[in-house]
Amino acid sequence: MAKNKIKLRYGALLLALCVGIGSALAQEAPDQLLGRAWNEYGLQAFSNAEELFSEVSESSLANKEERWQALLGLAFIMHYQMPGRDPEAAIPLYEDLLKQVGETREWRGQVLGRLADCHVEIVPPQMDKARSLYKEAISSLAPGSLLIPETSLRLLSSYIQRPDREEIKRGLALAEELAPRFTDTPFESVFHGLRAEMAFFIDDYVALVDALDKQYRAGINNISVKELVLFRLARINEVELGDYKRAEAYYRRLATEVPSSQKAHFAMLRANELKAGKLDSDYAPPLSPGVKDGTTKEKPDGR
Amino acid sequence: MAAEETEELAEVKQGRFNWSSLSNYVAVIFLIVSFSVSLWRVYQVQEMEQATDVATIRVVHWQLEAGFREAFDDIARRFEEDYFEEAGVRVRVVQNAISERVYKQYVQTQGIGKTLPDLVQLGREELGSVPRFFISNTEDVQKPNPYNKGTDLEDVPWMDTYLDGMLGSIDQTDLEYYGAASSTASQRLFYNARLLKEAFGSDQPPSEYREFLSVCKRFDQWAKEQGRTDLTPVAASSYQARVFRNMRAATLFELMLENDRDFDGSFGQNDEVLFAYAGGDFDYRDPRIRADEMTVANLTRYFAPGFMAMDRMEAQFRFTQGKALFCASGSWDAMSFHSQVDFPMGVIDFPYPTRQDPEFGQYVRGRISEANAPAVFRLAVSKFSNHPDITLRFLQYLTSRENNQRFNQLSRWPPVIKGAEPHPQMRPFVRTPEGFWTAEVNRLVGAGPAKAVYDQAQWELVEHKVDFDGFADMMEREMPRAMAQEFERLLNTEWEERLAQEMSLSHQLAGFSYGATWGDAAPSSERVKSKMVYLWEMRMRRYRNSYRLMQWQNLLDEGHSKAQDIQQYIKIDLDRN
Repeated sequence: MAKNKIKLRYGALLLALCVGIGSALAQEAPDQLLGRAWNEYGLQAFSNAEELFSEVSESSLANKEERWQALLGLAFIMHYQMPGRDPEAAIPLYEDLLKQVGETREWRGQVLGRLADCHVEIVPPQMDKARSLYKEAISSLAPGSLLIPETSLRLLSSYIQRPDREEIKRGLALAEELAPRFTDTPFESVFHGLRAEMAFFIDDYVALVDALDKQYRAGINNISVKELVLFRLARINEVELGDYKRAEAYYRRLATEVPSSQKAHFAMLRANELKAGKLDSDYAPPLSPGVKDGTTKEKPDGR
Repeated sequence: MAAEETEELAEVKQGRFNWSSLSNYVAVIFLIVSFSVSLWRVYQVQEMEQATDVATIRVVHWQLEAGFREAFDDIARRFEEDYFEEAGVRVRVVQNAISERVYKQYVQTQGIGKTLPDLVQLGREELGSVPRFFISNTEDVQKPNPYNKGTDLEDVPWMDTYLDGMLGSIDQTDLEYYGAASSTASQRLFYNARLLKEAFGSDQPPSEYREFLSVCKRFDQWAKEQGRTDLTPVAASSYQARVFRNMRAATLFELMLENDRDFDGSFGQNDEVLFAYAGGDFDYRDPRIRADEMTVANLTRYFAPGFMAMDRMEAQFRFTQGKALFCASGSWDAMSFHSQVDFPMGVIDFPYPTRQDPEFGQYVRGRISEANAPAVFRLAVSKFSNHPDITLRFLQYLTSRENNQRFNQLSRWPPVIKGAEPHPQMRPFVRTPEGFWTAEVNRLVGAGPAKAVYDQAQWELVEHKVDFDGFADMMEREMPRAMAQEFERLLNTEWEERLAQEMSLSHQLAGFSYGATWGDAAPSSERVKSKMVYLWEMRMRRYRNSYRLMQWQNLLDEGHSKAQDIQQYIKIDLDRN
């Protein structure tokens, strides 16, 4: 009888073991689940993503980092899902994640950046808090990380979100300080684009053309943005700064580099007019009498 | 009743012919034959479906225009032969054209049911669902189209063989390329050469705006003199009235550049309209706006009475029946028109006003450029395709220069690939990139209260219930309230659009930091980086609310009366934005 009982117990244990192994094998690997979850997130299918992230966070197969990432996914959903985004409710979730993140600098910087975003997005925004978190995020990240310029852009953009000229001027000054961080990074062009917006908001046309020119020279991916930047450079040089030679050069660049643009035809016509010294165009409004010819003149020795 | 039956029986017994019985037999035989033929057809379809040695590519689209499906079939048959020679695989391409009315629902339900055909035409508000249901071809568009081998496009990336650089194939949800278009579209003026000759002794169409108006006027008089009350100079409904807006020249160009505060060349459907209007820099009595509006309003005198209530097809039918001298429509209708008319029909570019125009000439800067003409008939490979590689191959075949030319010459649509020649009848539809641009200077956002005000005033103007001054009075009366509402909407929209972009960016940020741990779904780090930069480039102009609020405060501080008028209608707390 006792022998039978033991046999029965072993049998039950063996069965439980088999079922356990079977169900573990039947479970999808956490990395695959995470991939699917983020894919659903990208497709804005938030309830599917939430289900998958929850599954990973509770999975016995997931390691600590995978569970942490699943919790981050859930915090992202709380923060960004549309409709129903709630940055205020996401703050404690990010704060909890920060406590568990450990020493991975990239991950820590990422969470601090999102936490800062929440403080920008809540009503009323807490810009000072956000800026200090952005700075903390930047100092957390490993040198050379692409997230440093990305987070710096977020820090700078916090200076143009309120209708306050003085704050925007401070942002422009900060941009000068941060400029080296962007050199030779994929965000260099975007950085100058953001500077251009700041300069435009406070009517600083000299800074505006400088920033737009650097934005163009750093390389623009989007052809529509490139068209816009070249057209603005041509028009501001012509209409505000009176530098007709530069205006002509930018008009020509627009016509040759974006030939499919609806503006290419006018750009070429105007470039030819400017080359011929015809300031009052047959196509565009007459130039303001206040605009002096600011074209750089050659010195007598030809320099 | 019993007596009748006995009579019938007696007739049969006597061997007399019974017609009633015969018709019953015929009906039964007809039913049996029809049923057998149906069974046979079903069997054939089943056999083809289940054939293991043939790869079937199913294509679904909504182009029911005359000649389109035949042209598509021609290319499909050629592909079947060429692909067999190339790869030794038998392919069958089957197209299914579905009515526009149910197309969107069809794609959605088939997508959800995971039964979408291999190739699906896009362009019916599928935004958001494209990445879910279709396979991206971003990598493929950056490589040359193999079917351009032996031409000067041999080494050119597939995307650069397109007139528009394939910009129309980018999905704004995830910034990937999906599918490829096969044609372009443009709008032109169709004319009845026989009526023209009958009325004026020459079939030469007018080449300029005033001449066009004069032809319409004289034709109207001629028709009355002839007692031909069924004739009208222009066949039009409210649809064609919108198409005739293509006749406008660039009369707003200087107004736009004068008020273009950020120097990007755009003025209209943006905040600059509000600032310029509120600051008193322009109003709706401006002579350039008058020229723009009256260009179309002058024409509508020659439309049939009550045209705004008429149906589009009714107006087109009037033209194809030979009851009108002119009609305006798009390239997609050209083949249908050609097949329906029994008179010599011509197609010309719109005779827009020139700089010599006595009334509008001083404001005309040229014609409106068609550089932005859209690429159409975009097909994408569905994720549920059984043969995605062959399907992509077919798409490349369809959009090689040679086949794109053939397909568009047969269907009579304008080609989309560089160097592909259109059918001679379609030459007038080839887009003209030279020219200027125009915009809707009566609104801040796409479809808001200001557009409603404008539509109402413009309706009255084109139906000649009011003159231009009456139109301008309506606009001036209603615009302050409408602009206030649109300003609120603009502020709100920017915030929402930025948040939507922030969501896309958050996905890329996650991919950047953790993508390597996503198993099979791990994204390429280079792709993630380039998407992050692309999203930031797009974001740049989504921080304009602070600028707008500063500009608005300046206008109020400077005491502009129109700004004060508008301000009284603003309901939201601007300080909170």
